Amino acid sequence: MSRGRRACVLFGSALLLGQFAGCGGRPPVFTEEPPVTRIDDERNVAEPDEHEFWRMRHHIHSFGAEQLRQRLDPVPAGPAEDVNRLGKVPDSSWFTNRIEHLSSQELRAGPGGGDSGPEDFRPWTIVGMKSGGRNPGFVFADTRGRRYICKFDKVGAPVIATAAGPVAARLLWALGYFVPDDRAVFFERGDLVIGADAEADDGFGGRRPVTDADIDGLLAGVPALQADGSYRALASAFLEGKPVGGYAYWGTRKDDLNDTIPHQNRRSLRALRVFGAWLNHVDLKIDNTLDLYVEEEGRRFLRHYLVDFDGCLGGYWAARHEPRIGYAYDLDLGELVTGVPRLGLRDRIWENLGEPEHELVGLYEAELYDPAAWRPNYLNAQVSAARPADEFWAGLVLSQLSDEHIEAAVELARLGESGAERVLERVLIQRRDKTVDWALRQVTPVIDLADPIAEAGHLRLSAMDALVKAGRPSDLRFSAELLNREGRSLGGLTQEATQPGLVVPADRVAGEDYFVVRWLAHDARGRVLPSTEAHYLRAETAWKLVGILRDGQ
Amino acid sequence: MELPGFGWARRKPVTVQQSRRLAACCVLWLLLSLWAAAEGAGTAVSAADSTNPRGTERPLRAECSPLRQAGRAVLFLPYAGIRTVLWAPEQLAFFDARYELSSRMVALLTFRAGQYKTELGPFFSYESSTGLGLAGAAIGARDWFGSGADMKLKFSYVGSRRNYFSFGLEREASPFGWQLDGKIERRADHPFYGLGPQSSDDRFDADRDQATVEAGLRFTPHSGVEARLTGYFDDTELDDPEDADPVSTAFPTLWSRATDSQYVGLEAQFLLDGRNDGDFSSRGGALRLMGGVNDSRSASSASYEHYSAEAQYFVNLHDDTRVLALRAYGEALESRDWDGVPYTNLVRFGGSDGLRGYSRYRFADRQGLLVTAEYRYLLTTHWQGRIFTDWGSVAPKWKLMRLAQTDPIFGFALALESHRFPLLMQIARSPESTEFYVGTHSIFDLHSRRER
Repeated sequence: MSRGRRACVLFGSALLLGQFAGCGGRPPVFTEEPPVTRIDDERNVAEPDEHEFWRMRHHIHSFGAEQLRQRLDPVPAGPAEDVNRLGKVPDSSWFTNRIEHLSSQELRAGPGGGDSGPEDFRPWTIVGMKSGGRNPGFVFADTRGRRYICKFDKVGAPVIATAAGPVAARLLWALGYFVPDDRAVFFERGDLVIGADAEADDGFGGRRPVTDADIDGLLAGVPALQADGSYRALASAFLEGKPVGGYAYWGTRKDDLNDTIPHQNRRSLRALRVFGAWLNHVDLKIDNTLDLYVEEEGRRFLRHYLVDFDGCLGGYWAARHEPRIGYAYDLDLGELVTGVPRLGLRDRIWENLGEPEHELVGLYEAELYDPAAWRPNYLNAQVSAARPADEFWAGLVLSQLSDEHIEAAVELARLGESGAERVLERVLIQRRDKTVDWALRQVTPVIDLADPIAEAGHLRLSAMDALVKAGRPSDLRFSAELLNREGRSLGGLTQEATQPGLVVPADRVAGEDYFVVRWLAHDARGRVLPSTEAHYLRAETAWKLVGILRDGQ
Repeated sequence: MELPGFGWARRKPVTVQQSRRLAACCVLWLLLSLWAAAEGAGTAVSAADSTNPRGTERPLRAECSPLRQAGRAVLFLPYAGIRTVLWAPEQLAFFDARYELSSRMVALLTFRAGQYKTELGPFFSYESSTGLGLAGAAIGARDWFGSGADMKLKFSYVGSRRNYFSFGLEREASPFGWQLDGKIERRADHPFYGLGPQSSDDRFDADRDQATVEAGLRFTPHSGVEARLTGYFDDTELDDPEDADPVSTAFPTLWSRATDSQYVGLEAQFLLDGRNDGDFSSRGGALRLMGGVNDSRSASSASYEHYSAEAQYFVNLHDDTRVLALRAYGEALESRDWDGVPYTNLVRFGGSDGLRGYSRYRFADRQGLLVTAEYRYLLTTHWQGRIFTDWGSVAPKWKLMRLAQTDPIFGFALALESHRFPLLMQIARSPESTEFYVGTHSIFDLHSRRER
C-alpha cells in the first residue's frame, strides 16, 4: 500500500471514528433554574429589508427537491429549541400561551380586543383592488380610517370561504398565534365609495384608476346571498406595523438579531402540523405568513403573524373542489411515483369522502379524517419537521380548547339559521377530539408532573394520563424505570399500571443527587409509545422536578 | 499474527518522516474526535438566555445513530444529484422572481390590439417517429375587435421540417356559431408507406406544401348536441426531395398518381356528446358522424367522398376514479378514379392520432378501422395513469378488413388535466417499434378535425 493510500486510510478512519465519537453517552442533565416563561426576542433591531415571496422558486423547492429530501433522509429533524425545561413553549414574538386562561368571551373579542368592526363605520372608501390570491376583492378604509382587505366567496361555493377565514383565524389566535382580526361582513353596493387615489392593475403591468365598472364587475362575479341584495365578504383588518415579508421555512432571518432559533426548530411552528390538520389549513406556505416591524414601548422589533385563512376548513375545497386537499400535496411525487405501479388498486381515504354534509360548510368532515394522514398543499419544512414531542405538546394545547371556545368561534362565521353552524361546530369538535387522541399518543402521555412529596421512607411522584385529563378514552398501561444521573438503571418501579403516579422508596435514591423516572406506556395493541422522562434534582431541602423530556426532546 | 492490510507496518522500518506523518494523522484524528464530542457538549446556560430556554447543562443533540448517519451518507448521494439537477431551474426561478423576468416577458407578450388584450404564448408537441412536430408561438385574443369571436394566430418553425402558419377566428356562441381558418404549411420528409399493412421498409419521404382555407357554421341546439357544416379549399403539392421525376418513379409502390391537387369540399358533422367531463370523463358516451364531398379542381387529382364514424363509451369502474374508456373509429373513402386520390388524403393510421406504437402515417388505404381501450386510474388530483391498447387496420374494401393483419399495440400514458387542455406523455409498444409522445392532443378528442 502506498503512503498516500495509507494516509487516506488513516484519515478516513479518523473521520469515521470522529463521526461516532459524539454519539451516545450520558443523558442530558437539567440545571436548577426556574423554567423560562418568556423569551426576550423583542429587543430593539434595525428595520429589516422586505423579503419577497418567490413563488416559482418556492414551488420547485416544495414540489421537487424538498419532497425527495424528506423521503430519502433517514435522519429525523433535531429537537425543538424554543422549549423550556418542562417541554412548554415560552411566550415570544412568535407565540403566546393564551388558551389556558382564555374565556369564551375573550375569544369572541379576539385580537381586535372587542372592536365592533367596519360595519358600524360605513360608507367604506375603496383604496385599491386586491391582486393575486384565489379570490377577488378590494382594500377599503372605514370612516375611522381603519383599513381592511375585503375578499369574497367563489361563485358556486357561497359562504364557505368567508366563513372559514374568521373561524380558523380566531381559533389559531386562541391557540397562541398572532393573526389579524378577520370577520365576516355584510354590505350593500351603496356602502362603497371609490377613493380618489384608488388604483387597480391594468392587466398590462401598469396601474389605472378604479372605476365603478370595476366594482360592479367584481360584485357581479360574487354570490349575493341576501334577499335584499347585500353582499357577504370577509374583512381582514390591516395589521399595525410595517410588513417585511413572510418568514422562511428554514433557518433564521439574517437581518433580525432577535431571530436566533432556526424556524424549522420552533415547536410553535412545528405544532402547525397538528393545528393545521385539525383546521385543514392546507395553504400553509411562506406567502401566508407575515413579519411585521412594530414599535412597542420604544422598542422596534419583528412580530410574526399567520395570515390568510379562507382556505381552511372547507375553504380550499370550495375554490378547487378537489377531495384530495388535505391528503396529498398539490404535486405529490410520492403519490405519482407509487401510484403508477399500483394501477389504481389501492383505495385512498379521500376517494371515499363523498359530498359535503352541508353546502355552506364545504367538504370538511370528521368521519374519515385521519390526522396522521393529513398533508398541506405544499411541503412545509416546519410542518414536516414535527417530532412526536412537538405533536404531543400541540395535542396538549389543543385539548385545552373547549367546546364553548369552538362555539364562540363558529359564531363569527355568521351562518344564520341554516343549520350550517351546528354542522361546523360538530365537525370541529369531532376533529379536535380525533386530533387530540392522535397527538397525545405520540409519546407516553404523562402530565401534571410535580416536585416529589417526601413521605415516611419514600417519595411520592404525582402524574396523570393526559388522555384521561383531556376527557378521552385511554387504553394505556404505564411502567416506569428509575435512572441515575449517568443514565444507569436503578431498577423498575411499576408495571402495567392504568394510571401513572408512583412511590419511590427513599433508599433507592439515597446516594444520588439527581434521578430520572422514565415512563413508558403501551396501548391495547401492544404498541410502545416513546418515553417521557421526568428529571429530579436534590435541592437544599427537598427533591425538585427540574425537567421533562419526551422522546428524548 | 499480521492484520490484513497492515503488513506494511512490519515489513519496513518506519522512517522519521513516516512517524511524523503518523503522528500528524493521530493528532488530526484526535482533533476530529474532540470536535465531534464538542458538538454534543456545551456550557451551563442561564434559563434567561433566550437562545437555550431548555435549561440543560448541554444542548440536546440531534438524532445521531451511527447506522442512520451512515444511511444518510449513502442515501443522500442520489439526493445530491437531484439537487444538482434542480439547481439550475431553481436559480432560474430565483432570478425570474428577483428581476421579474417572466412578468416582464408576459408584459412584452401581452399587448393591446385596439382595446382588446392579446396574448402571445409558446406551444409544442413531440413524437419520436417524426421528432418535434410542432413548436412555435400562438397569439390569441378573445372577442377580437368586438366581433364576438376568438382569434388565434399560430406559427411554427422547426428547422426545415415543418413550417406552419395559421389564422383562425371562432365564435362559439350558442345556438349558432361560426369559424374561419386559413393555413399555409410546408412539411419536409413527410413519410409515405405502401398501401395496406405493408412492410415498414417501404418508406419514402416527400416534401409537402399545402394551403387551406376553411369556413364553417356551427349549430348547437342543446348542450352536447352539435351540427357543423364546413366548406373548404385545399391546394397540396408533393415534391420528391431528390427531384426524381416523375414522382411515380420515386414512389413506385404508391398507388396514387396525384402529386398536385386542388379540392373544394363540403363536410358535415353531427356530434352527440354525453360524456361528463371531456377527455377526463368517467361516465357517458359520445357519437360523431362525419361525411364530405371533395371536388377536384386539378387535372391530376380525382373527386372523392369521405365518411367516418366514431363512438366512445366510458365505464365507471369505481368511484369515478377508475374508468374503462372505449373507442371505435371507422373511416372510408369512395371515388370513381382511385388513382387520382392523393395519398395524403387517404385513411391513414399510426402515430399519436391512432395506432400509437407505430410510426406516424404508417398505414394508409381506402378504409380503416381502429378500436381503443384504455384503463384510466387516478394517481392524484389532475394526474391519471392510463394503460391502453390500440388495434386497427386498413384495407381497400370493408370485406377485406382483417384486424388480425396487424398486431395490437400496448402502452402507458401519464395524463395531466390542466386548466385549459390535457398534457399527455405516452409510450406505446408495437411489434415494429416503441414510440413516445408528448403533447396536448388526445385520441379521445372529439373536436379534432380531419387532417387534410
